[in-house]
Amino acid sequence: MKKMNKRILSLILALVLSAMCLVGCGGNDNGQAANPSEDNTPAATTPDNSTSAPADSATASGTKELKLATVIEGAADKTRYPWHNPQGPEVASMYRSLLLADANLTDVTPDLATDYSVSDDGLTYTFTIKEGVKWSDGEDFNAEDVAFSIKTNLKVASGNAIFTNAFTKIDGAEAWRDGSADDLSGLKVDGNVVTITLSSPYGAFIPVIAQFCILPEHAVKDYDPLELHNSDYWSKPVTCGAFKLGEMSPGNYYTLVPNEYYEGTPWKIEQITNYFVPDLLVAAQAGNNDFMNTNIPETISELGKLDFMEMHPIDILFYRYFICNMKGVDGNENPVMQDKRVREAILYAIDRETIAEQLYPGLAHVLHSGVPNDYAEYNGVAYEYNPEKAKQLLEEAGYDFNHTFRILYYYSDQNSIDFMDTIAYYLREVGMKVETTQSQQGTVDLFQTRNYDVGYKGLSAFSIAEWYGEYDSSNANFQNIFGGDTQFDEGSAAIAAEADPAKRSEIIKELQTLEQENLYKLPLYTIGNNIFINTDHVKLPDGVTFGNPWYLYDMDMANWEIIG
Amino acid sequence: MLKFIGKKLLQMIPMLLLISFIVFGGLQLMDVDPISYMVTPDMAASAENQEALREQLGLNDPFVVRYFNWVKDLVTGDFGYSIVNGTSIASLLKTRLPATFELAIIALVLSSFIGIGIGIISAIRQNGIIDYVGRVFAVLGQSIPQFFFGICAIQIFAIKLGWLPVNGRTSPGASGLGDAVIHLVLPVLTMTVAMCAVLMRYSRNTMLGVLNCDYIKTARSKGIPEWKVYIKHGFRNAMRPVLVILCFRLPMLIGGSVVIESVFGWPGIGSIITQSVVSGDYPVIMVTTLMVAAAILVASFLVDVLTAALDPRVRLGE
Amino acid sequence: MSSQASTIQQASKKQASSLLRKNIRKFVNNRLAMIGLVFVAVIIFTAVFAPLLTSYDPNEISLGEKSMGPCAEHILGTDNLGRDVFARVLYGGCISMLVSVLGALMGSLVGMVLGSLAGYFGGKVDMVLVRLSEIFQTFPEMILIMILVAILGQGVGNLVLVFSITGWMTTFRMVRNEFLVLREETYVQVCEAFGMSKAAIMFKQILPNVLSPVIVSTTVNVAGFILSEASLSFLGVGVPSSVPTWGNILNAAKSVEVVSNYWWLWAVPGGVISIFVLAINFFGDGLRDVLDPKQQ
Repeated sequence: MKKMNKRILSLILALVLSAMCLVGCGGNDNGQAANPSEDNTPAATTPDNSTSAPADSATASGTKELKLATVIEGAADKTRYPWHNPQGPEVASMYRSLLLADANLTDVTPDLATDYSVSDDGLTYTFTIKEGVKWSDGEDFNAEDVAFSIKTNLKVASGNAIFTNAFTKIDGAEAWRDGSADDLSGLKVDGNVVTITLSSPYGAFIPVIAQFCILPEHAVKDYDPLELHNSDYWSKPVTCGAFKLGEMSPGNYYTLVPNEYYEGTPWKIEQITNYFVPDLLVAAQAGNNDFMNTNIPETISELGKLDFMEMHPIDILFYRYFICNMKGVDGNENPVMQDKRVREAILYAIDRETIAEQLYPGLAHVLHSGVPNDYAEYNGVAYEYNPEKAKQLLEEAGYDFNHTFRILYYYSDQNSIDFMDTIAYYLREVGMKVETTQSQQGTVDLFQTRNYDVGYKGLSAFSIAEWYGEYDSSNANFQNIFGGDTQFDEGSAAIAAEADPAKRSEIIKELQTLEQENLYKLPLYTIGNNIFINTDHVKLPDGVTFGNPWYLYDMDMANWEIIG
Repeated sequence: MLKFIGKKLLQMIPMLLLISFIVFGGLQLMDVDPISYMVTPDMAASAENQEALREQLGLNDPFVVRYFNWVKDLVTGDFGYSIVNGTSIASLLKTRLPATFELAIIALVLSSFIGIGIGIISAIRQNGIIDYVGRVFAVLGQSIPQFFFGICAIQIFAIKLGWLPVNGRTSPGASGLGDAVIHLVLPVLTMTVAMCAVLMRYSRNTMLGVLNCDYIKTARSKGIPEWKVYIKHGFRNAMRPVLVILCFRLPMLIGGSVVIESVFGWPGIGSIITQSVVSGDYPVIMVTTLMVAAAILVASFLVDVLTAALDPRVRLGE
Repeated sequence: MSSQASTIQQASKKQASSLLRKNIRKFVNNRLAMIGLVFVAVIIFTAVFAPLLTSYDPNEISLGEKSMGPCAEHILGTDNLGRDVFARVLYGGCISMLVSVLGALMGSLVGMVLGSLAGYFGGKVDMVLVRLSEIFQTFPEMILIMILVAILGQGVGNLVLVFSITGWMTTFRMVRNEFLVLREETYVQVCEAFGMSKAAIMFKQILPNVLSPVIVSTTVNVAGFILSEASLSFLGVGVPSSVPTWGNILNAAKSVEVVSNYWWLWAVPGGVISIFVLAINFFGDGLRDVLDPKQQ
């Protein structure tokens, strides 16, 4: 009998334990699901709960909501870091730059700066900062925020190269970066005027400024610049655009709600929801992705089948190319690639014309240098498909056909895998042994470990100068691959500094020739892009032009109307 | 009995330590450099920056130092941060574990009822229609790759028919049971199909075994009504081994959720494990796998206690 | 003595062969198991003799013939690079089956050796090995596989290794439990008295008696590994995507575009995987019925 009691006791104990587990999980879970509806619950992720709550409750009753989708990455608990690529409607609605670019990214109109001027020598830029702008937490926006943002950007561990390239031209940038100076000497703030002095001219400085989102000093200053891109700041950003973060539901979605401190005309959109999804196309099919861009032909044709998705083709400078693994900064050479004839042979061995036609119909255009074929600067040199010539070149170069030629790529989508299979096939046809490896550690494999012969890369170039800037011996990444060859330095510095179109064109021609003499990069093709808009949900105002989807430009989003 | 439970509980501590050491040691062998994932190739980041970052994250310390630092942090409740996206692992676990448990437990309950139910019916009506249909269903469920089943289910039920949401766990603005249920349907369905199959086969076999036993024949010969024989004698005796199997399925469900969560964008622990394996985010891999291992240890502890309590042959206090 | 021993051996051989014949008859009478066996045999045969069955190279790209439906030239159509699907499924099957069969065999081998050691010696050896298997079992299989893939890297050889590391525990338990019982048997004591070496007793005398459940669990593992390979491809941590395997071929067809437009790209690899896994399971069930003495 006593034993029986013990058994019952233990059974009860076990049941209680398991029930506790269940209740623990279930309880948590209910709390989470209920958060958005319970106004009193302080939702940790909502910076200002009292104002976001009404928007939340209104959703059910037909809020004018723009739906976006982002592919799940990591914990999916952050908004986009705008210093990588300031792309898409979510960045455009939350952040602002001093100037606002047009769809070509070249002409600018005032935004956070009411006015700007450039000195005749192209070295001094003066910006007058707009007054009366407030951040979404109610703090005033001021010129110090601008100075803070530029100085911080020079120290961050991760960011778009266009900013680093431009800002390192500021006087004293090197000393500020390496910590030997306490301040950035070329950057002065006087009241609402910011003056920037460059040490050498930089032609694209104004377009770059138009891409550079200003961040609030008071909210960002406590973050370590080295970890800023990963910090939890992006789970609760303070913004000065028309929208601010509403609710963040990690792994599910986040909502953006109107920023009540926004000084401009309120937008017609009342809420923006960004869903975290495994597949953008499926999200679009389900009507949860009102704005997306793609250069994948299968996705384009599938989206084309949806009546409500309207296609806007855009012409951008998006390069796809091979980089030859030549020589590290340590001086270690890769013997396989040293002979230029081998590099040339690869271009001849691949039927790029057919690949472009079949895999990317209407999207890809074969490229023979960094200059697209329809540019006036193109010199007409072409590497047409010629397997016989490729074989001949390889033999002349004494290429070892038993060597396993390793190609590395970091894109993981099926289209890229198919493309690499095709490339491998063509190279095998000329007698090479080929292995393609998908790297999950992009940067280090491509730029440092160097255990491959050729790497496949994409570049959404801000301008043609960025393509040639990659050859520069001081380029942080490419010096690991091209071994710090200085041949291109003069040209790449000149193109960066020059703003005059005629002179630029001359420099580009010279660079093109130099490029074809060396063939460190094997240009494959440029690829266009398409933006799709869900016309069942969104009515665009007249005269909207779309541009490079990885950058910030005036899409007139204030006048987008949400219908149906 | 308390001694028995205490002993079992104490045994879990060295197991957990050993597992943590193995996980930690094994992951040091990974040749994925977490730094690489933090900086995409299109971006510029100087080598000095990377070195500074490495130093700051303690990636340069010796192995033993890093292990003890880690265990010390764990014990003090500091789970650390993802080195890939800076998210606090504690908050990650707090939001992700409930999602995974929700999915796993609902799938477990559902598949148990369906699987055991059909299994028993097909055992009683051996070679009847339900038996055949059930067995075909079972083998099909076991032989279709889960991810493919999931993708097809999304296309049919979410896109073509538009009945259910395509992914995620909640919708903005919506709340309450209805919203949670519609998001659960597809992942639970996909999980249940595979789970049902195993349980169906197992319970069918066990029930068949029990039905052939002498005491069933005796019961029948006594003239007890057929249904009573099944419920009172057959079912009760067949259930004990099935229940044990059931408890062991929870950890397997968590493993299975790795694929399901990736297909359905379910914000649970499984998709985090996948992403951290791909990116070499080893603080996250270590803590999440340790958590899963701990959950399984707790589950098997409960199974031990349950069987000990239910089975008269197991003597307690030894 | 030796002649005596040999007659005993002969007698036991005779007995064994009649038992074998009986078992084969029993197996042949099991319809599902036979169907399973036939399918498994056919699929293995076609994969091994792929070069005789198709003249296409599975990697040969022909962009002019992309995404063609089944036709006279390509009996199962072509994929989006114009590669012959039939050839890819045949050659892919070869690798997928190699990985899963080798993985399962090696796993069983590890399980058998460790199980024999643990069961025969008992005591500390047993305790350590049992603990080890418990630790391995604490991780859900998929998670264990993923961690190992992360440590070892992707590749055909590594996947075999991963599968053998994750697939030994069930076999280990079965063999150990059987050994614990069998080592008390008289014939083991007789062998020991004859001064046979421990290794010989373990592997020559006892092990053959526990082989049947091991064979069954190995077939179950093969089926499981085929599915695991496909799942790993989906998660992007399987065999490198440039190698055609069933998992990679099916994974390449997972996009919405393919699922809704090119049925042969997913139906063929998906169908073959399902049929093979089904067949292996039927075959394994049949074997269990025949070999498991408790069910006789």
